[in-house]
Amino acid sequence: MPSVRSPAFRLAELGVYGFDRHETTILAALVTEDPLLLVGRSGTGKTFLLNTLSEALGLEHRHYNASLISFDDLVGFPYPDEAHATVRFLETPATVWGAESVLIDEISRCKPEHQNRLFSLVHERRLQGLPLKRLRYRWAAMNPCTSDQGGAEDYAGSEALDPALADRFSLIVTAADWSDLTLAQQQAIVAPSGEGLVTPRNGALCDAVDAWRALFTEQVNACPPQVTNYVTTVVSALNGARIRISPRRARLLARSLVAATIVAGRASSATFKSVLECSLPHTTWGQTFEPAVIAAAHRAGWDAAREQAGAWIHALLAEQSLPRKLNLLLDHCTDPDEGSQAIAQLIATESPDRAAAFAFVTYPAALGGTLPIGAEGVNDLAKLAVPLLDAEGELSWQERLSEQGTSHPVIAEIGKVLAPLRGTRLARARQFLTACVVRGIALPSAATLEPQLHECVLLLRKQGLARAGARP
Amino acid sequence: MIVFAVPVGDPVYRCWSSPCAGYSANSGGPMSRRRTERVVASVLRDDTSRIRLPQVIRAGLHFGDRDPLQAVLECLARLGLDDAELLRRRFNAPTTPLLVRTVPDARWGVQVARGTNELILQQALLLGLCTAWQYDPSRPVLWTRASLTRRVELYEPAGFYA
Repeated sequence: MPSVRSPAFRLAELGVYGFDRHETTILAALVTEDPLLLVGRSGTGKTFLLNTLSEALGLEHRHYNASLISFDDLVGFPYPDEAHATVRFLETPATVWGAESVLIDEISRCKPEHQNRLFSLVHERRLQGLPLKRLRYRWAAMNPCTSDQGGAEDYAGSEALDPALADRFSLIVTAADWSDLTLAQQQAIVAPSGEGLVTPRNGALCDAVDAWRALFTEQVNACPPQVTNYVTTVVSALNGARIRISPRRARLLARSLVAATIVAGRASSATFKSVLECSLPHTTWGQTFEPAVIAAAHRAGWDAAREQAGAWIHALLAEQSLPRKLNLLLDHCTDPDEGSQAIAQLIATESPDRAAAFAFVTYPAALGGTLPIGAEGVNDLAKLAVPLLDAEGELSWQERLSEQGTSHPVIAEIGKVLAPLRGTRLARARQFLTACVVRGIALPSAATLEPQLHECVLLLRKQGLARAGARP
Repeated sequence: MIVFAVPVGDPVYRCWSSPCAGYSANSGGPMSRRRTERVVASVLRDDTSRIRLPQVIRAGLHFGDRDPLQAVLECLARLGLDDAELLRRRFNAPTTPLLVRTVPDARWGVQVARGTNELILQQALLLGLCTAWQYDPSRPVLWTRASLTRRVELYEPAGFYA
């Protein structure tokens, strides 16, 4: 499979380099708003990445060092309220109550009692049982734990995380060290400009995250079968290989995959593998395993996902109703190439009038870039649709000598279909049906085709796709 | 059964096959005439249609006897450019995909013999981004004899779902 497709926004635009391999995964964590943990050796840019993201997103951010923190730093100084009925906390710029993002640095050096308190912050967005209503992002960073270290560098005091706490982090991204970077990345990192500067709010990132988040909210409630198939297969394979994956983690993996697919613009093997690798918390408590086991589980999962992915095309081709065909395309197609393939097969297998109707009604949206199909698919639709948007020709028919002013018999039939219609529905139907007659496309069932055309328009309108825009 | 064999060219045959034969010599077939009507069905050209796809731009070049590709490449060279892609920065071409209506006999467009290099290349850029069906700014600028000799009208697809 090709490498992970670049998302619409690149971290390099924020001056962050070296995270390319897991860029889509990191951006997916911004979309899910699930907890993110970065693991890496000192100086690999973990803290820089998370602080930069908070600045670029314009978030009210708190950065705590878990090895130094006291609980009062987080909650503020407690005092009784006026009625002496409850305790309030005196807020300072450092307390967590108004925060939108929190970075808990050096979380593996945290005292055990603080780990327990952070647990509810990471897991539930709560402290002392009180909700942190504005908190969106919970991030943490740590060095590799002492049982997971090789080589001369020793991170004394970086302890293994409690598996219960680690399992609350949806994504665990390992930061690349110098030797893992390309020459271009190394050169970008050593460029001394920008040191110590605050990153300005980045409108492109904010807009991208908002748009991705809107899609995510929609899709996560109807998780694509491709994702559920992948997750169930992978989790069963890993548990079978004695790498325990909890049911909760399986669900977190599915959420991250949905988000990563949105960020990348398509489902790909490389994206899914990156998310899977970053969904395994085991290294944070020192457990290691063979990469081949993960690769094998991913392969099995991806095969299952692809099988599922192809299934919707069969369903689309077997479906009789044009609006339901369109619905299948919109609901299940995550890969533009797959979408183009579906369009080509649909056009090849449908009768000329139905293929023309589908192309006629979907082409303007496809041209506007709002359908999940690639350039080849748009072109295939264009070949059928454009001649129907602008048709001119001569129609001939036989008229009895005893009759005057008759119409072409098919035009007369069309007239009966058009008679009850009004407004733009009438205009679209008249254009399609008349153009079909001019272009010589037989219309054996105009009366049943017109309502399907209209339903397709309503579906595109309902899904907000009946508009022109830049192609993604 | 009696069969009459009437040779073609025989006055009797000519009478039966003439337009007025139905009245003078009923052959037994339906008495009808052929009618022909010109029909135009276009949401692009009909100003009265309830669905309107607004026209954005027209483009076309008239080369006369000149070779289209050679003529355009010479214009490019005269501006000191060696790549058609560089024209994107020079001219403000539409940035969204548009629908193309090809008008083979259109009289509008720029006469290459009389137009300035800028004017010719602006048209050539648009034509190089068009196929017979659509204008696609995301594709490379492709100049062929076919693409350069098209005369096109470009339309916004937005109004289709009104």
